Amino acid sequence: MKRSKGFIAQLIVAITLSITFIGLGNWQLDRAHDVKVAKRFVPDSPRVKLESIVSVTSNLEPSAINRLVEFSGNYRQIFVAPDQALLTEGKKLFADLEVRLLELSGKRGILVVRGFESLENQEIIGKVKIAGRLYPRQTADSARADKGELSRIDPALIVGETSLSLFDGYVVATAEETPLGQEILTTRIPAPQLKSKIPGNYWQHISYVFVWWLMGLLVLFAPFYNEVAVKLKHEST
Amino acid sequence: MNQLNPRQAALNGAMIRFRIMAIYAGVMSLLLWFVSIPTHYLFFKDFYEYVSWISLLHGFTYPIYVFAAFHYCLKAGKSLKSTILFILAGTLPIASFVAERRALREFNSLT
Repeated sequence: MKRSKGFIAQLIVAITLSITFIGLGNWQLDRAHDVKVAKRFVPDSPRVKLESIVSVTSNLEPSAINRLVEFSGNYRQIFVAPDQALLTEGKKLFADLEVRLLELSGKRGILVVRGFESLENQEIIGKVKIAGRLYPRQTADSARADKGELSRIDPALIVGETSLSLFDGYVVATAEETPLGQEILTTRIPAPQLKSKIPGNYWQHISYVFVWWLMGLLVLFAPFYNEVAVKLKHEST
Repeated sequence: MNQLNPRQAALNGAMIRFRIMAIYAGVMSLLLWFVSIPTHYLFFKDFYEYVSWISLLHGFTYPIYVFAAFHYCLKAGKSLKSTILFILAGTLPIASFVAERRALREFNSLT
């Protein structure tokens, strides 16, 4: 059957569109896979020295986020981070947290979330050994901050208040002890692994995969549409 | 109930399927645009976990609407442009209700 040039052009456009739609379906399939991977449980790696995975001269590497770390130093300043959402599974809780600036050797510093803010600040003199989990700096304010408060847990907020070179991110302490091994007690907060926030859920992306692939198939039919429509109309009259 | 003429009778099945799916897609689009999307991206974000099924259901059932609209348009001898508009009507709130009313009007005027 001989076809006109117009038909060939339509066919080329249809094939191009079809490839695009199928590509969009594949993209949704990749996103579904990413969501699945992001929500998968990853076992914790063994605890490492803080300095072995981060440095004060660079931003936090993605591979360093969620790592269990240990380090030691002296507390220098105390802050309160009001209205912080706690990282708990299920229920959403808000609390005021006690955040301290810890000085490490070499005039370096890191923010440490010790636990819930208490009315009486514990005086901690001397060196402290800390174990905890490393988190990326917060980017959104959780509250309006007065003096001595942090609107979000972000070392950038205290750069002007200290001469220390600050590590990116912060640590939620799970344990503190003196050099003699004596545990320092306070009311700690949970420190679970931070989950990646890729929007959507697996099945939602899969449904879009079907929609795009269906569109990809239908558009291939477009150049033949008029022919078939006329034929069907004749049959029905 | 009115007697259907031969053209209406030939189109009746596709028409009924399209009308059912158009009303369904319209309701789902309203829920998607005015409940699911705002709670996902704008406000009452805590509420989203209770309505996340809307986008899921809409995503999986929209292809059925596409098939119903495509079949109806093909049988009714609509132009390719009209067919594309009928298919896209399932993604916008109200639009599929308008498409359903229009299809019914055209169906009733068939002689």
